[in-house]
Amino acid sequence: MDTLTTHSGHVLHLGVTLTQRLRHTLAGYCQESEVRYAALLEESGTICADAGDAAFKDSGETAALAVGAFAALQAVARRLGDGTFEGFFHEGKTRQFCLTPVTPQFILLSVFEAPVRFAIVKLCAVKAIAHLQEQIETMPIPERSTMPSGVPSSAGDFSFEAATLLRQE
Amino acid sequence: MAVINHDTREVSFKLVYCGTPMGGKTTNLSYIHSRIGADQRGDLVALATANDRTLFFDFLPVHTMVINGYKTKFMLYTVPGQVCYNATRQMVLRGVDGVVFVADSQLDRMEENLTAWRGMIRNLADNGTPFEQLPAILQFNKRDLPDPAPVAYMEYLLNSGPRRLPVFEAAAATGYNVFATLNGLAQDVLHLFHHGTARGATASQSVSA
Repeated sequence: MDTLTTHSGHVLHLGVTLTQRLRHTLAGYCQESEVRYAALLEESGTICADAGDAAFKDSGETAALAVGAFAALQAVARRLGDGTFEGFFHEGKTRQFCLTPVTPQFILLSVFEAPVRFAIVKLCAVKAIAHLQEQIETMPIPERSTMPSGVPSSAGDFSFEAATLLRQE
Repeated sequence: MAVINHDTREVSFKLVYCGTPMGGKTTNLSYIHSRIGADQRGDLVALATANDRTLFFDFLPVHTMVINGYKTKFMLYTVPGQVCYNATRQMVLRGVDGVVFVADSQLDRMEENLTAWRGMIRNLADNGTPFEQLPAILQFNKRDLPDPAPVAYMEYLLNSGPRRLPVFEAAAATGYNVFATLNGLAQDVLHLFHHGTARGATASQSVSA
């Protein structure tokens, strides 16, 4: 499957080829800009694709916080009278990061070390974002998306208890 | 919005706990966090004030079973309950796949329950997410406190519209029905994911103490 679409507006499919292309673009961006880690985040807080230093990967906490922070600052900008929002940059002593909009639904997270200049990252990000936009927007959108072939019809009977998630009471 | 990544073979869902200020939303997540093994969940991220009131949101990723090769991940969020944080609530509700409305069962909190309920529906609509099509669960929390409001009264206030939601009576502080609530929502979300239609939209069912 190689689609990026919605099912009744509430399911986003990231096909294998698309994800690999996105990852390839992010890897090229990391190499060119000396960014240590780059991730494409979806507005609900999901990492769609990433590249770079695996040490920065987590189980979603950073993505959730980044998406929340981005949305909050975007809202602040709007309330202060600026309808556009070009993202934000944190200048740390050892580590820096920036969040940049790709499309209204996707955000680019870039993490880099202090010696790397933000101006260089910003410049390289423009090119990477153009590629990401192209990859996102040019994917075919079928009339109706399909579910992963493996999802059984009994999926609705899933139980947390059955999944033995609970510790012994 | 559910995200299916066919490359990493992972499906992610965003579930949000909404409700009355001090109603027990964070307590739900804290209990879930305390009862799930560390290998099947991430850290509980809480953005709170010095008084432990939720300022932005709480977040807990839960990794669950594999459905024929696809890992399933539920990203649990809470919203801040206080009235002044409406913009934040709307933000956290973006891309939501299912909601738990945590109502406070204390009699003097009914007006706040109703205000929060209406606010949640309005925020969803403003985000372009029609509540009618969204998996949702009502949790009547704090049933362990003395003289809770009658369930029938709370149902009349919050669950008498054309869409009748499943109701769980709960005591999040002790963990009573916390997982039953989450399980109920997870089932509805997975049902919608698989069949493309919400289930249980017409009949109310109540799980009592």
